[in-house]
Amino acid sequence: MATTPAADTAPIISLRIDGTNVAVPADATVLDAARAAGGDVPTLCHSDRLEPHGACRTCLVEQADGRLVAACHTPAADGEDYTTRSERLTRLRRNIVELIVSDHPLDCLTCAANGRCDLQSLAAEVGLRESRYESPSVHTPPRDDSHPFIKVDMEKCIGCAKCVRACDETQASFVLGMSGRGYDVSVVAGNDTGFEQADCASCGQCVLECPVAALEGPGAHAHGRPDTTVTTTCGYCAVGCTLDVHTKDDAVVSIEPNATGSANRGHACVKGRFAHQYTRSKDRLQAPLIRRDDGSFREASWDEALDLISREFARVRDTYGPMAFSAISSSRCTNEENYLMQKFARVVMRTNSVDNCSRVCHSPSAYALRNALGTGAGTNSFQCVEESDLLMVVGANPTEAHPVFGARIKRAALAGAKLIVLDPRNIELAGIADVHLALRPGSNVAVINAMQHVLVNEGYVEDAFIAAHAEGYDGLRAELSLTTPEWASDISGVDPDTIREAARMYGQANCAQILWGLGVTEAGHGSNAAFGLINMAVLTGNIGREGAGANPIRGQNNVQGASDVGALPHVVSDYRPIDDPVTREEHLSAWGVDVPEVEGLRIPDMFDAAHAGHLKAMYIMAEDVAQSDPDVTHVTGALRSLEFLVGQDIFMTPTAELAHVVLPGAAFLESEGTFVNSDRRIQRVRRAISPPGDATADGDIIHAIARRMGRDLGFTPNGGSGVDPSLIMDELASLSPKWRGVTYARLEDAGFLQWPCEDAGHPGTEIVHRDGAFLRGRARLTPTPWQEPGELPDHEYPLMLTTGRQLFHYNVGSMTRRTDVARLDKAKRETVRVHPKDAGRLGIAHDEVVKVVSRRGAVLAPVEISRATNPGVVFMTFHWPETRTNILVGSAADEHTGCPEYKVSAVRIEKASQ
Amino acid sequence: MSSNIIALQNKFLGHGETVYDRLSDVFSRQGYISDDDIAGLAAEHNLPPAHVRATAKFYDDLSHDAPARRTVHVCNGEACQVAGGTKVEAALTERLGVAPGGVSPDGVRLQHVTCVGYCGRGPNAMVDDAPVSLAPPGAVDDLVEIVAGDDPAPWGEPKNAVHAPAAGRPCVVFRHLSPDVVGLEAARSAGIYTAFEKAVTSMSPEEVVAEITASRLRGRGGAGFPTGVKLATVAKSDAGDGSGARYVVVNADEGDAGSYIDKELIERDPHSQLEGALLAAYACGAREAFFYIRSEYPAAKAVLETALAEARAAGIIGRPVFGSTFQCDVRIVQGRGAYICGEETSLLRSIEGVPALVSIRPPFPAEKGLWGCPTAVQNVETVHNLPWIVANGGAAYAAYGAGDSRGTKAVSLNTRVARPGLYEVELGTTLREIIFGLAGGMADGEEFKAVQIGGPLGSILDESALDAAFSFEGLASVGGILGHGGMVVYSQNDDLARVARGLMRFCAVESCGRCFPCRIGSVRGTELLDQMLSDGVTDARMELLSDLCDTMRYGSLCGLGKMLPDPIQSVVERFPDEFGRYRRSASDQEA
Repeated sequence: MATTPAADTAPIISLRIDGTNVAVPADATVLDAARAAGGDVPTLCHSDRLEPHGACRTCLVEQADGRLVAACHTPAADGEDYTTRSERLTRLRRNIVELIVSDHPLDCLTCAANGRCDLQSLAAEVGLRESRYESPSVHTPPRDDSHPFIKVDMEKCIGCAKCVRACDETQASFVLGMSGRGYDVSVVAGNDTGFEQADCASCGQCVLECPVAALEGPGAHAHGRPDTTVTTTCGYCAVGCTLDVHTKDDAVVSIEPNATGSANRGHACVKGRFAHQYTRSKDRLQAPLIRRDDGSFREASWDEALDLISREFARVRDTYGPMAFSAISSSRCTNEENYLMQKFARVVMRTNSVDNCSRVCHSPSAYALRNALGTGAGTNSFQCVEESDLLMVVGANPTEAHPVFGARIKRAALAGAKLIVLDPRNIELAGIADVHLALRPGSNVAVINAMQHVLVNEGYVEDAFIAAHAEGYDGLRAELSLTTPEWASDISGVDPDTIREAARMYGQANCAQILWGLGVTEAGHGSNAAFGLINMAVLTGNIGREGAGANPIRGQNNVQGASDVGALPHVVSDYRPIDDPVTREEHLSAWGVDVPEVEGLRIPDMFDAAHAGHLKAMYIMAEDVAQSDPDVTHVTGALRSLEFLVGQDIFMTPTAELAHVVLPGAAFLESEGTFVNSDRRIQRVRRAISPPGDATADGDIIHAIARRMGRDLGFTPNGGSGVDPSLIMDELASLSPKWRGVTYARLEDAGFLQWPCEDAGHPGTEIVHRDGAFLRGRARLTPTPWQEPGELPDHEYPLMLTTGRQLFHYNVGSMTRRTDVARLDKAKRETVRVHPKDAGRLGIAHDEVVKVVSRRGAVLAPVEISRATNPGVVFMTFHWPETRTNILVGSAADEHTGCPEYKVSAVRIEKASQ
Repeated sequence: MSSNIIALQNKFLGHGETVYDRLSDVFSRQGYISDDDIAGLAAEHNLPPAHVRATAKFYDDLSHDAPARRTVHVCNGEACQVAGGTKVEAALTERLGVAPGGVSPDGVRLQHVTCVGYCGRGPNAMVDDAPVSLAPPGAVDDLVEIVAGDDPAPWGEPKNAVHAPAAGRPCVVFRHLSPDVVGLEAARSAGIYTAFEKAVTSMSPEEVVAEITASRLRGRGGAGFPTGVKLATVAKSDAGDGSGARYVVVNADEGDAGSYIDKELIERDPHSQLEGALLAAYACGAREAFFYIRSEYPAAKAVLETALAEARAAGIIGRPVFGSTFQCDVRIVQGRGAYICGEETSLLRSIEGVPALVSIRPPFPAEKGLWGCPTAVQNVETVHNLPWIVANGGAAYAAYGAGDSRGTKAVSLNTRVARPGLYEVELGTTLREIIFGLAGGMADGEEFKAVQIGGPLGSILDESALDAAFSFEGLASVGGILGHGGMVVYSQNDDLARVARGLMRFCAVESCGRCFPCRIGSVRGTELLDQMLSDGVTDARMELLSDLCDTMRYGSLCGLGKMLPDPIQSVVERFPDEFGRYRRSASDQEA
């Protein structure tokens, strides 16, 4: 396979730009060279994110022989002498701009793009005042303001096709097209039916690329031009997009993907880009609330609230002992806030009972990766998908749940990588997959074992790699001897030949990458499924190389970081066990107190302990366990039984409603710190706007509680009330061997660092376990005996319910529901997606409200008849508090990590009238 | 727009199958494509509706969204216009009760077409798929009567005159035009396919390329690129995807008004075409060849299809041949009404089934063409030369012609000369010999005013150019081009300012719409020329026209926009009276 030479060894050519000598790589365009020479060339149709298009021709430059070439797409020639500015070029550019404005309204003053319009700037640059063309025919298509974020005014379109190219090349949605020919060529959405009908993902990339205001976001018209831009990391999913937040008057005007963001490369999704209005929602918690005896809340001062909390926490600790208290930290919050929370629990409350929501999502991934390979995180970087010749996506729906990464997977598949999808649903990626294994929910381990069986029995195993770098092969081989595709077919419902085809395809790949989501971990025996996927990678040597690896796609913005920094009951930061003597010694020296010795409670254990009367007080930060955790009735019962509950959030949530004190925290746009995304990328989070009212940064709140309890957690220069997150990072790094090289100064400089980053000179790690150098020493091949999921359908509950996210909402929906993004969700409420076959059999109609009943409870939801699920499987999200889907989900859990089986619940559907 | 769409098509339709083909099928079946048809195709094949729509709306034919009972295409090419086409169009508009672009209440669609390839018989039209010359008196009446009913057009196809070179003069591309070699049996008795047999049985591909290089043959489509160099480039290029795929594409999208060379070569000698394409494929290592043939040439397409079927049945195509291991398949793709598809990158996009916008270069098709693979795009006449070169040797070919223009060239003439039709001449023959010698001079009552060579992109030359050589460099020396060899002669009866306006309008209609100078400039130019012709020529308008021509010439992405200003400015510069006639008086200008 051809390899791209590294940048420093690429051949270099020398040329002159306007008399300046410049050396550039041999594949540079004239535009690249002009920029390298410190100049620029005007362009209207060019974008660094898109392939050169060569349409507007305003980038024409002159060669030494007088010939004119378009700088944007002409390869720079060695030894050539280019002129980018001259009277001739200015005249030519002026004439082109004159043509453009002859079919463009000259209403700059009232235009949303006024002041940032590329056409306006170029007209000014070349000195065009008016067009000489007399009564030109013009296009005057009507405005279309129907979309909440994409305001369409095609009268202003200049025909550069950047929007269409962005939809194709960046988002890979193909919603837009350039229709027609010549002068009448126009941008159409779908079959010219408008954005609303066109299945648009509303990523906004078309708006971003538009050089004029033919496509425009809503911000500038409402607020005027922003005056401040803050670069931060997105707080929705774990892709970790770098965003430029444009603000004015302490409010967000608009958000755009940062052009150089390492994880997103100038791309963002509908949520990161548009779902920010919740920050100024009237529903925001703006003052501490204390519950009255009658159950209602009253506003309180911070003093009163902190006094009450510190008194109650101390009372519970001192009366019942440290194990009577537990904290739930938050994967929505920064590393620094999570670090503070676990430090608070350990140092002030003297308990290890602190956990975070990775417990209920990817704890099996972290567990399996740590035990099999030696580190609790994925092996590769996002950009590696471009180097894979095969991608296997298991139990994940990235085009909806991780849209920026989803688009990248889609592009990789269209660029030629083979794609295998294991998912019970007909998700978008399944539509372009080479093989789709539409297995029954809960049967992952069987199918993965069968695939391993084929790899082992058909000679796809890299014996030399295993001999050199792995252990446990004999045990695994014995376990796999009977797991034939036929056997797995009986369990999973997938045709055995399809399993074989997928396994062979994987086995034949040179550079295969497995990507998995919560369909692996939140389904029966998630750790074993993850072990099995890791086995596949190790067996075939598809690990530790560019494009080859095994990677969980983490769910929330900082679910990786919350665990990395020690918001877990059995380890402190960097997954160091609490009983490790060195770890204990270092912490004693840094904290002045010992790490408590007794392992803490995991989240599900906390609820059990509350029911049992052992747990008396909880501090829940930015988690809505009453909506998001399984068996909701059990959870709310536990919370109600507590003597004292503190909820800290940005909105009143079902969880906060049960609290004795509710504290108003800050949204990510209001916070300072860092997040760790799904590929171990530590990135800065910066405050773009202030929290509303008395709402306060979450770290400051934790710090204030500790101080009231007589303990200064540190990090406040000059003893003030605000913590300095960079100081927290310094302590965190000093206590975490794989983070030791991380500092804010380096993050500011590089934009990101991927851990492991072991010292100040370490560049960070793009790919872990490189070339068989597993952090564990040898990779462990782990036999994963098949076990049935916690629930199976039966006569009474004949359908399998699986749950997940949809594009326009995020988790419990408290943020997205309070934005106009909610308008894009056609249903605007929860629905239960039912295959037409099942609907026919049950005699239920589209939109009919039905009762979905599981062994735990029932919810009402309207039916959406959909071929996105397969017969026997129904699907719901958990975005809507009105429909607490998780009431239905059982308490069965992964045997290794306690991660619940959200993805597998046996249900039946009844007519609502029954 | 990108390779993504092509990947989707390959995924959902199979390799090489395109939305364009499916749209074309729907159009063939019902004569129009509705919004529902577009939505249905998108849903059926799981493809983005925007892509299906954009592809359909690129083409004149596929853009028709309402049914019509009959279709009349009236030619507005220069040759037909000067032969009376403008009057015919006006008459049809009145009699049918519909302007071009619309459908009459009676269900007759009237549509412009630029050239149906009978430029020696104009003015011409097409009724449904049947070409008709409207030159005879009463022909318009007949046509109106016919389309009022449902009967097929009763008149036979017009015939172009093809004049073989005089005895003793070089005869290459017309070598088989006299005997009837359309059928395979006759073709084989005439020795067609023996050059191919010779090549695959006794020559290496490199040797074939060497002969072609030695012939000094340059592409006959207009650009004049050395054919041997192109084939060698394709042979040594690789897509890097492990497939080793290379393609030959024969460009039979002869859209230049005034030229009907390719049409006659295909219709009269289709097997030499196939043989030439096979030779090109053998030379560059392609295993698949495409003919892209315009829909305005239904007869040529039918003849070629029959020849292809015969050759396939005889085992010459699609199977290893003559005991060698070489095999090549051939497919025919039909154009659907877009002149720009004659531009090679546009043509390739059309075959790929995406909107046929011109692509940026590099990469050149020889390195990265059809589906990203090295592709030799060759004109019909170029291909027609190859069997002769392989049979007779490159040196024999190079012995004809002069300078850097070797071999012979077909040339077509319009009705302004006494003997219109096709001629094959040795490159280097003077224009005077062609027009006043071979073609017998001007037709009765006509006086020579100008000649435009190379289609709508060729400069309009005055009498002083008549002693220039008909060759690449000869015509370049007088500011013209050889182009594809179509020649339109204008007489004292022709208003060259109106011709210039017609050319600009042609560009506006046919611009693909990608680059700004051509897309907008051609429309502004048409409006400007209209204003000059109706409201008077002024200095300011002349300066604006000159600026506009410069903007298009230096700014445009492809030859259409780059070269179309040449004939317009040649009228301004060489025929000052043509626009001078429309000049406003000085006092008017001040007002």
